[in-house]
Amino acid sequence: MKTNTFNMQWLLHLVFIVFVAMTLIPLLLVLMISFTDERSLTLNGYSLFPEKFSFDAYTFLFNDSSVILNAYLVTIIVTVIGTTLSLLLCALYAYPLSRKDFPFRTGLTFYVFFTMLFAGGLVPWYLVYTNLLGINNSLLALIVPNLLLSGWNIIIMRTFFTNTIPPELIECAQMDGASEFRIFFQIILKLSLPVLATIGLFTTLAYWNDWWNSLIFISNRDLYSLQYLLNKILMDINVIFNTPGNSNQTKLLTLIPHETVRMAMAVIGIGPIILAYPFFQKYIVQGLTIGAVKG
Amino acid sequence: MRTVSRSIKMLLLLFVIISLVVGCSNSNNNSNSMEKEKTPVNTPKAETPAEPEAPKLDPYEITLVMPGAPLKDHDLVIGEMNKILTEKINATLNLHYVDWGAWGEKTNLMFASSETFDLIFSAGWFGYTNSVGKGDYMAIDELVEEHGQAFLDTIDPEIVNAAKVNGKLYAMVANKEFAADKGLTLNKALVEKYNFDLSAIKELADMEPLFKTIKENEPEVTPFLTTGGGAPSASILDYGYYDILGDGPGELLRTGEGLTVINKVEDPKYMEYAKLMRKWYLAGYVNQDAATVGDTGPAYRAGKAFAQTNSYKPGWILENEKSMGMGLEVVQIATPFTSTTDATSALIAVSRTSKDPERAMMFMNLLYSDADLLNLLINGIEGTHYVVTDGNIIDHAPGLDSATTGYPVTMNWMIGNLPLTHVWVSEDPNKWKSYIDYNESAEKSRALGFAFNTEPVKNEIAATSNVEKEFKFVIVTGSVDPEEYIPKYLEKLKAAGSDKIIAEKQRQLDEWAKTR
Repeated sequence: MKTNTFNMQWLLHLVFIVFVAMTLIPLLLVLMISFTDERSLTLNGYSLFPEKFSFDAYTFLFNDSSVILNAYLVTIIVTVIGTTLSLLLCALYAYPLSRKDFPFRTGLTFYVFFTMLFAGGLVPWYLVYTNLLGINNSLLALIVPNLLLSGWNIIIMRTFFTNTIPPELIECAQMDGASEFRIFFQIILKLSLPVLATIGLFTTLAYWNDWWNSLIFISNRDLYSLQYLLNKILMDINVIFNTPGNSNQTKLLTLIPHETVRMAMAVIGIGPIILAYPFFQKYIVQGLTIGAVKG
Repeated sequence: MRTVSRSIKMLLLLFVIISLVVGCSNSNNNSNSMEKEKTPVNTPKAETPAEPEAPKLDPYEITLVMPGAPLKDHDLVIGEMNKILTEKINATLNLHYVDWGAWGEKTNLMFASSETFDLIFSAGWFGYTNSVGKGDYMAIDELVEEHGQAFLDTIDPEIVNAAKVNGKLYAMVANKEFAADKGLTLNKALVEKYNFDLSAIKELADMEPLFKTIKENEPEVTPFLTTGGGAPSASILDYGYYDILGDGPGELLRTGEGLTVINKVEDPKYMEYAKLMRKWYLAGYVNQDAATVGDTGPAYRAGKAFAQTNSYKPGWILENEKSMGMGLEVVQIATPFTSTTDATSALIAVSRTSKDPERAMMFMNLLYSDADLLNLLINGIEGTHYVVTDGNIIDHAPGLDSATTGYPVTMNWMIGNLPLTHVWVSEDPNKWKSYIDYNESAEKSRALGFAFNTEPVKNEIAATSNVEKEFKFVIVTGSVDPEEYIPKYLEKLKAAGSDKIIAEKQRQLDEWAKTR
């Protein structure tokens, strides 16, 4: 009996070891390729243990660093401002929806819910941001469209507020003379750290990984985001190889960085965001357990 | 103490947020003010329509949209160009780049939102007829007559006609080579090592003994490195044996007479090539990942392969030996051939959103007649980017090479009357002369000038292209048995509506033939 559970334990361990390996090895491979000598890469193919190490890819990237560093800066600024604004706006929208004494809550909830199901389509969406608001080619174009307010996040927050914050608490605060703003900023937000951290992580990732807004709205190279730079390489390759009858392929190919450089860019792209995880993790676990206890 | 540190924290946070928001809004102001600066250039135009023939033209900014990325010395070069342009047609140039990969999405949205711009790059292989079909471009027959005389004088009328869709001209072709010949590129070192006699090779099948020798003696080398798009059937037959007549199934045989559209998958030649590739694939002459592999350039450059298919034009060997850093030999399998796709491999169209198409046409006319202007655009500034070594021959300015120059040559196949530009020392000094001879020697397709309008059958084309994705690459690379898979492929193509497309192509082709 005892050995049985022991074996089961090991089987489980094994399953998860394999799973972790499957997740980690590709990442490791990218890292190793970025350190491989270009020539030995073409001769031997991808390998976790390159024959010859080289820092050429990184030297190349940082010699021509203005583009990459600029993209880095853009992405960081957008992620920080975007996440902060997005969290604030989502919370400000979600909180009233969680209050039973708020008169228009069904209407406003439906308004958010509706946007989760239906969208206006690409062209009208583009027209609103470029012709009506005129924010193309600015940092706002990377912050506002698609990412700033997500109906999904608002609904999650509203549910969290409804389930974890007892209405009595708000009544108490009101009786003690606290204003609505004081209740929201000093009581509600303090109690909602887990959900803020969870949504914050989602939003940070969404901002960090976004390349679509750059593709659509940005034509000024100084405002390209990091992920767009990475994606651009893939898209360029796609166009060059998949257009038949293009006798100028060899000319266009010179525009594309070498394999090792692509991998080095991917490694740089993972960069700081990997550090954000441990920071948020604490709260996410907390968020999960709170949810579990309350059912 | 606690409260103090907390309020400091709050202050810091506030400070950070404010500075970020301010910084952000600053950059917005900048871009807004830039746009504001631009608008006055356009607005007076709208109020007082230009008198095109008047000696004094209102200042105008011509926006030219090209695929690619801005070069380092872009502003410098455009500044020089604007000096010439202001003097000649009182205009300035705004060269706007869109990344190759983002081209489709971005230009679609630019047209959809009626953004103002004047000229845009297009090409037969890059969606030209589709854009014409959507009404993105302006018909320019009259404009060219009036302001584009240099263009008409330069380009062979047959080639000008190739850019016509439904009898109307929508774009100006760049003057360069209008044909391509197809064949195999061989590693020169290996050809010499084994003393291969290349003059004996007339057909693809003649390559077999060569591949056999390489396979037996060079274990490290792939005899024939290919890809789905680079397989002989896709790269040699499609452009040298058939005229593929635009998108979708339905081809014309290059040899013979008449204008009967066939389905090449039913053609014996197609089967012959597929069987040959299958044989080589099984013998290990062809790389086993051919159907899925993408970029084979690095492996070829590293000397890991013997042969590769390519598309050639005069001076190809010289240009590519330099860029690939190895000796090359070429075996020609399909002789030079001009189809509509070749003739329209680089076009400049006038956008329907242009505010002043006449000025745009005057600018294009200069690119076909003003050598100084075109040289600036293509090669950069004399003295800064290049120096003249001898007559029309140029080299990089002292201390610069193709990697360090601020204006590398990227557009020397895309725009204008290219024989007006200088020739680089690394190129054949008679490059432009040989282009002219080459164009004249090329066999012209019987359907040259026919452009297929895909609109009536676009659903079928989408469906057949899905089928093609499933079968084409595995068949042409020899990854599967053609005896079994070609009938299957054909059956699925028919189910997806290939017959309807072919009938429509035939109908349009017959109609086109009547108007000639």
